[in-house]
Amino acid sequence: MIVAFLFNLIVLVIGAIFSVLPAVTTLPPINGFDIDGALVQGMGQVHTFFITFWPLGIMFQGFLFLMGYYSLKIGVRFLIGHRAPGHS
Amino acid sequence: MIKHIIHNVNRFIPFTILLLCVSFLLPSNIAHAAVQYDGGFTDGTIDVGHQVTSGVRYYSSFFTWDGVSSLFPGGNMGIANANDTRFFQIYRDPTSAESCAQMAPGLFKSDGNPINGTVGTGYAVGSTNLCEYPITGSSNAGQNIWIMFVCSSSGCNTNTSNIIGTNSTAGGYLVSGTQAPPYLHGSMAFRTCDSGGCPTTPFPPPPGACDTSYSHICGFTPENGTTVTGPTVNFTLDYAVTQADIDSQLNDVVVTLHNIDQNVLLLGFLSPGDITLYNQVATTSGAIHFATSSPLADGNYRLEAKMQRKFFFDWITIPGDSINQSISKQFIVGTPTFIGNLTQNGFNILNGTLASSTATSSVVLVSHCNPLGTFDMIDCLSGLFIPDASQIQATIVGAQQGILTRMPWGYITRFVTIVGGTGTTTLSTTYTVEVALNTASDTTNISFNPGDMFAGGGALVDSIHSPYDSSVTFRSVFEPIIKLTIGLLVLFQIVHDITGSHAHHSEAGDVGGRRRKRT
Repeated sequence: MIVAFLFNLIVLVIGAIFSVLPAVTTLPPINGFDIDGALVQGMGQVHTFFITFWPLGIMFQGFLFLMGYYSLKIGVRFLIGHRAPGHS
Repeated sequence: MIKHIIHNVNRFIPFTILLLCVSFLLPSNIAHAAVQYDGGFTDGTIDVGHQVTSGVRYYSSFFTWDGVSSLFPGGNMGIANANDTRFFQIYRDPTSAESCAQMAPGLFKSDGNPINGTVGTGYAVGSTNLCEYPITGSSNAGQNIWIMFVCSSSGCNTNTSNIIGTNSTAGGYLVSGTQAPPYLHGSMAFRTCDSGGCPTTPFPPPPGACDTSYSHICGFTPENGTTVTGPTVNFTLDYAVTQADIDSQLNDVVVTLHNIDQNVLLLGFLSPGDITLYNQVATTSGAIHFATSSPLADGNYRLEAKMQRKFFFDWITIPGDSINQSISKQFIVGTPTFIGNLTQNGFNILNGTLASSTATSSVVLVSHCNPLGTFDMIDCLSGLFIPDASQIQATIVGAQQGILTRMPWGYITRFVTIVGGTGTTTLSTTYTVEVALNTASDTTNISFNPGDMFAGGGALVDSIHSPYDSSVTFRSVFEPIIKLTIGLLVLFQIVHDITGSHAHHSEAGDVGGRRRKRT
């Protein structure tokens, strides 16, 4: 209960600080083009394609994981700078 | 007295109006009560090729026959059919290539003649394993149903077995086309309905059976707290997986059954009694039964069954997923050991405390901190310091909604949500290309439907199998290899990036990783 309370308190404080910023529910349209709708439909069709051609789905899974790693690395480098692993 | 009567009448006026309303509604409800007979649940399937010779490829369900007397006793016996049956449903095994239309059933009376009305072409309703057949024409009200034939008109494909769901505890017998014994006790899963139509809910499993409507571990043995005789111990595992969970892209449903040796302190995982008995990615929907046996030395053991949604080549479990399950049962083989008993008791205390941890259980546990109440040190400390899984989940969800969705990083969150989603969209667009033939004006159109093309290509890929064993498919052979290769490549790239094992340029004169000679 104490640990859960502390976690909730941290989330609550950070959430309160950022509550002044607007929440994002969809990606903004660019020149009237619905990027969000296009991405949702596109990814849905990609998933349909991957159900049929599963080897490509596995490759896409690996690609997403690698992109996740690079995103994490950018975040870590942003926070701790040159001390980040792999930084030369 | 009159005042008293009027007072009571006034009190009952609203109630009377309510009754009148209900009485108006009741007849309409009765008119829509569609199901006349429900053959209960499905607990198996039968092979229509069983005992059936070439050219006699049909099977029949004698719903109330005793298995001894005449197959066609005459009279009006069988399932009561007081109202006119306009629809009926049977179970079709989803693995069968036999379609609802191909099964073409017929309903007959106990004198061997068909009931009134014409049975139409069947179609799947609700799910692929529920076939419905309409009956048109003259009324069959009062004509009891004695038999249902399947495949009676054209015969079923003998290469396709196990197509009809059965209810083995129901009365009656299943009889093959040759009508030769032995007969199978039970009935085909069967449901009759009047003109109001049939429900689209599938036939449920029998009580206590594995419910296949959602993915979960149904049970496994040895049961908790039992002592079994060694050295050979029998293990079973029953679980259910839905097709939707199997089809979910970029992740898998992995089911494991792991026997943990509790007789060795800390290093139990090195013991020969520590065995992974089952570790499978679910590829088949429905109820799955697994049984095996393994020799175990005397002592204490914990059997852990897990169902987890995993991604990245099934190495990482997706936390907080609704199908994630981990259940443990502790048992003893022969004679328990001292360390084994200690381990089992310790697990029981901790598990007993945490197993009751629901969203409000921390409050319940903390109530044990009251020295004037039911004080319990373990429950008190557990409630104070160990958060419930649901509380952690609520905190994570709160952080996602309250922090990660805020602008500007909320755009990244939204992008990741879309890319990481599992929804599918059909490729329904048809592309038409105009092709010139002999002259510019002599043209023809060629249409491409990507959805059909992909489906056809996928069917081709899936149809590739070993010529010696049809269960060994292209996918079953190459999927693990492709997964391993991609996984190793990704890991190599990450390790390569972290360790900086690329050619570095930290020294002057270092070109392309080769040091230039100093002059």
